[in-house]
Amino acid sequence: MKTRYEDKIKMALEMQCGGISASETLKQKIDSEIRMQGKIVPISLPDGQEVSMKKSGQGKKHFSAKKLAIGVAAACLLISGGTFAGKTMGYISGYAQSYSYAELDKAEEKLGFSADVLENFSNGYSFEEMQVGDTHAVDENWETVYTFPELAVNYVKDGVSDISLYVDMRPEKGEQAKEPDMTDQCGDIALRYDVYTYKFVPVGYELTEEDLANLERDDYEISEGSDEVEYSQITHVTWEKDGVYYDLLGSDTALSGEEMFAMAKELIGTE
Amino acid sequence: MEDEILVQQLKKGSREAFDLLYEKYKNLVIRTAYLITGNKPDSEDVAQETFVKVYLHITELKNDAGFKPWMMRILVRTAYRTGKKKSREVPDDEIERLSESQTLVSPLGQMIKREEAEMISRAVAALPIKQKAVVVLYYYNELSVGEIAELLGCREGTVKSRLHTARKFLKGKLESQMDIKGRAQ
Repeated sequence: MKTRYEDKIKMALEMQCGGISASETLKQKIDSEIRMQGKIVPISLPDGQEVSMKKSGQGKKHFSAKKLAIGVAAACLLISGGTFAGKTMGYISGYAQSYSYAELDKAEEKLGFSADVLENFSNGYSFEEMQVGDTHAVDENWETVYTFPELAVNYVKDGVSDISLYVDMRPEKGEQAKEPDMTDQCGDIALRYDVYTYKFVPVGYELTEEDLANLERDDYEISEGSDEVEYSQITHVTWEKDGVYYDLLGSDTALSGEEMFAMAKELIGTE
Repeated sequence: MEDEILVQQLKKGSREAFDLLYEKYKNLVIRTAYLITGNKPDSEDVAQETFVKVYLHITELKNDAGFKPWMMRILVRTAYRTGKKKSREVPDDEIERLSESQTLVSPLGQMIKREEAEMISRAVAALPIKQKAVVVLYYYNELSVGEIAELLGCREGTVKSRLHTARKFLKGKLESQMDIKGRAQ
């Protein structure tokens, strides 16, 4: 039983926070942050219509949030050809568990399949960290269409962590509308190299006529969530091996398409 | 609607279920966060992060009926991290807000003088973060020692110890302030 003095503590706390309530913008910020984890974000157009755009991200603990979200966002393009055919409109990824390279077996157990992951590449890039999480494929109403596990690996060289590898076995595959910037072959596995330009804008940013025109391009995305307008060039080498989908992603990397193809081939050769 | 049903729907990806859970718990979350962090901007940040984590990690919740303590655990841990970075002093503008606001008087508030409430609030705010969290969960959220222990992932003895230390600190702080005030008058 609480004493009168303890009752006063309770009353004082109630008085202190009694006038506090969730701000009108809190839900908006929560929705925005969730979408920043990789989901497509509707941004208002000048005429009041909405357009779906891929998001930059924040809040990833260990990985470059922007990079991670871009990887997921880019995956949207890869399955949908940029026009989002079918139900899936985007992905939300939550990475819950980190693993060292020595724990690859555990990560694969969590994934439910084996993945080609290297500790070191011949060009000097080395394993930094990897995480496994569930990715939700969502429709335009944010309803989950299906869920699949995904592996995200970061690679670093000379202190710069600009290469990531994303591995999954998503059940939905599709064709891209965008023509690849380069293609290559590794045995019977087809590799494609794509370059995308991302413009990151603050929340509430109003699209210009130029933005709208750029959004018509297959290789240009506008993502909401940065403090100021900034640009990023994202490169991908993608391939499928034994039903597993791989996306080697460069974030403003100096590596050329040929150099990224070489890394992909090293990964494909991994046993 | 029961939390358990909403959680099951959320696990299947229902956005509406998330919105309903948010509406149900938003003020509890932000007020608890406010009492632990001591200021409104941080409490908004903590509430935001808590709900984002709830959405992204709901599939990790094994017991659907245990949503509230699971969410509170996320909240407290997030608030810990935020609160640790901050000073123990309550910012003057926050105390000012307590003094001036007309909306802060709870039905029970008539039984306590505003001045005394402010002193208690200051004293609670000055507690180390872990003691403060226990005090808030025990007195404001009205959780039992056992529930707090489960929520924080520690022994009941640890919770009791933190409560005891906090009560002792609060009592000493209040008595000294009352003494100073008495001498000044």
